[in-house]
Amino acid sequence: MKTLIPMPQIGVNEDTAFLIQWLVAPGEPVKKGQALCTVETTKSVVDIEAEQAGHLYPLAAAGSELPVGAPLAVLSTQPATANEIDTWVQNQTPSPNTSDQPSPTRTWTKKAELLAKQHGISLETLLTMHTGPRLEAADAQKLIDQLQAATPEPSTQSSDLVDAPCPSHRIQRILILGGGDGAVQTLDAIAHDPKQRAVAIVDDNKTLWGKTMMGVPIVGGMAKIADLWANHTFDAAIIAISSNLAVRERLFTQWRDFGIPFTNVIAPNVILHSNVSLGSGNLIMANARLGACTSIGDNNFLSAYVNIEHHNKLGSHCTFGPMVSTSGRVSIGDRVIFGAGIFIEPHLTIGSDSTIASGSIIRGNVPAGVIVKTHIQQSHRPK
Amino acid sequence: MAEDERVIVLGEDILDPYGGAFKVTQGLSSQYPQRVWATPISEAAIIGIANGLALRGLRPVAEIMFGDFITLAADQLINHATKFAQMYNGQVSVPITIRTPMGGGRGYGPTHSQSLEKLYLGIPELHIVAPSRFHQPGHLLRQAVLGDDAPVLFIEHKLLYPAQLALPWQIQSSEISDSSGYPAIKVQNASSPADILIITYGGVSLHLPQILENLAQEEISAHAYLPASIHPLNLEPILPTAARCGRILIIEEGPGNFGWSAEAAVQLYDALGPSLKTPIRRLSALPTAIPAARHLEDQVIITPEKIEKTIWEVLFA
Repeated sequence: MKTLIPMPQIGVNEDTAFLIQWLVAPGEPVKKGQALCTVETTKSVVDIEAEQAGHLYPLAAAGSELPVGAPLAVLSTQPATANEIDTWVQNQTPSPNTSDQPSPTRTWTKKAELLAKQHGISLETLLTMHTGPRLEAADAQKLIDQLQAATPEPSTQSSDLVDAPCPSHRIQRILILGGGDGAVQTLDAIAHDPKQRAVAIVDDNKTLWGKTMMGVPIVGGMAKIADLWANHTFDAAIIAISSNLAVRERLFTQWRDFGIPFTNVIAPNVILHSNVSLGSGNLIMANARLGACTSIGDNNFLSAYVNIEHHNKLGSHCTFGPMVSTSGRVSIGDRVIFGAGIFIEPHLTIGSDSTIASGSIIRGNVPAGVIVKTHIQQSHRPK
Repeated sequence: MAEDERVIVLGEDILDPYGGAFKVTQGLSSQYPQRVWATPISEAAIIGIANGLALRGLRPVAEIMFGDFITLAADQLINHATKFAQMYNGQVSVPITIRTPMGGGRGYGPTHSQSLEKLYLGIPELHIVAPSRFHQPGHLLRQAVLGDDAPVLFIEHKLLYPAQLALPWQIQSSEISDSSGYPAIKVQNASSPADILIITYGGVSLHLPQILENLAQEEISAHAYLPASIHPLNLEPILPTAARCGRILIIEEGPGNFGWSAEAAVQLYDALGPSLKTPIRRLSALPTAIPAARHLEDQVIITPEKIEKTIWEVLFA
């Protein structure tokens, strides 16, 4: 009879132990209780004893580190050859646990399964179409594309019964974020542009939902944007909020990162001189003027009659009241709030996060994060 | 200790030849006999003494033998160490570092296996730092001891002590610097956009290399974000990934109710809003005492099997 001697668990902290030395030569007879080998953990050195008499056949070499439960030796009541021991051990050792491995019977990857689910196509359909050892993500995507090309777009793809989603030749359908006075100005600007059309407004104020503004429906809150986009209801968005810059910036960053394209809405009588560059998400109202070689970042709100002279550099997320006028080569940071009727001398720098009060005349550089106040007293007396 | 002689180490049983219950200080008292102090068995005294040393210009490192015993130091930490700088109008600082091992997985039972850093999250002016499997623990400890003038609770997971720093498998790992001075780590098993984003810290990271490899076998792109500074918590750097991915799992080793994962989830909900594809999922320990028997302990705490199962649920939700 043969018995396997495993590496015992010597300490609760130890998942492995070192086999230091064998105290008995291979094949030698041992008595019950005789020390067979010395094993060391980080805390102690102990002898492993024979639980019964027999001949000892070591399976591990002295000096090796073994996990708890690993085979140390075979104890046989009869002398045995090395071959007999090997054969016996192989029959004892359980087949390695393969449950952690990808199942060999599964013929697809989880990513392929996920793609099928996301496109509402059954995995079985894809597996039937697929020829090859394993259905991988690239195979699945190819088959899904084939299926979708063969099937007409389901009606949920677009809520519009006439327009196809996003053809490049058609006018741009715009979603407006915010349903206040800014939206009225935006709708007015869009109304005069034959290449843009407002299709919906979203606003978190529930009392507005279901109403229309200049004929455009207020369809729900900001949470609705993802659905509207998924249903191809609009081609690009614009933010019509000018009162709260933090909200303006957060909405822009969040939805741009989500993948929503932002457009520029520019009233038709705005004058853009040579070599002006614009980011996206900018609102530029009637009679504004951008001088030659001026560059503008993203998500700015320029009210009517704002004049940004030549070679200006304007950052992102700024708002301008009406009649703000800069001179040449002025540089403006991000999130700057301008009141109404401000004049700025040439070659000045205005730092980010500053606020400039109405009626100011800016004659020197403005550092970041300050409020510029101008004391113009308004008084009244009887006629 | 070689860089700055103001550093003093104190704690229970930390002198040679024993060298501490987890051998972290082994050899230190032989090298710096005047600067490594064995203390009586009083955690309140250890932190109280450390506070006094810090007020007089030293930079003490206090060891609490098991994180479970940090409860005994609560008053010194909450009502003293973290308050002095503001109470005395910035004229003093208390640059103490409290190193302590937390976490289960070793069968140590209910009072030697917990992750009690949770009790200290949210204490103003207390910095809580936890190295993960992917951090350079020495760099973080150096920053806590020499670079941080606030009290630091430095959480060491018991299972990470014997872990090798070298990564066993092709994982892309990048360090993301943080204004706290304790960089976060982002790891990913593919360069493609994330199918799932895992946010966790400390000892849970031990399971990630194997899990990321299993997911890669299934062509799933998994990204994980591991802040070292768990309080204060800055999730700003991961927001773009989180917004694009939209499927997020937050894992915390202790019970998650009223916990770190709840705070992280709320920060993400505030910042991401509707860009989530499925509600943020949290995985944490059961809210009960941790059993000593290993198979029962596994039912209570986080295991790799539970993490993987939850990942599939989030992906297919």
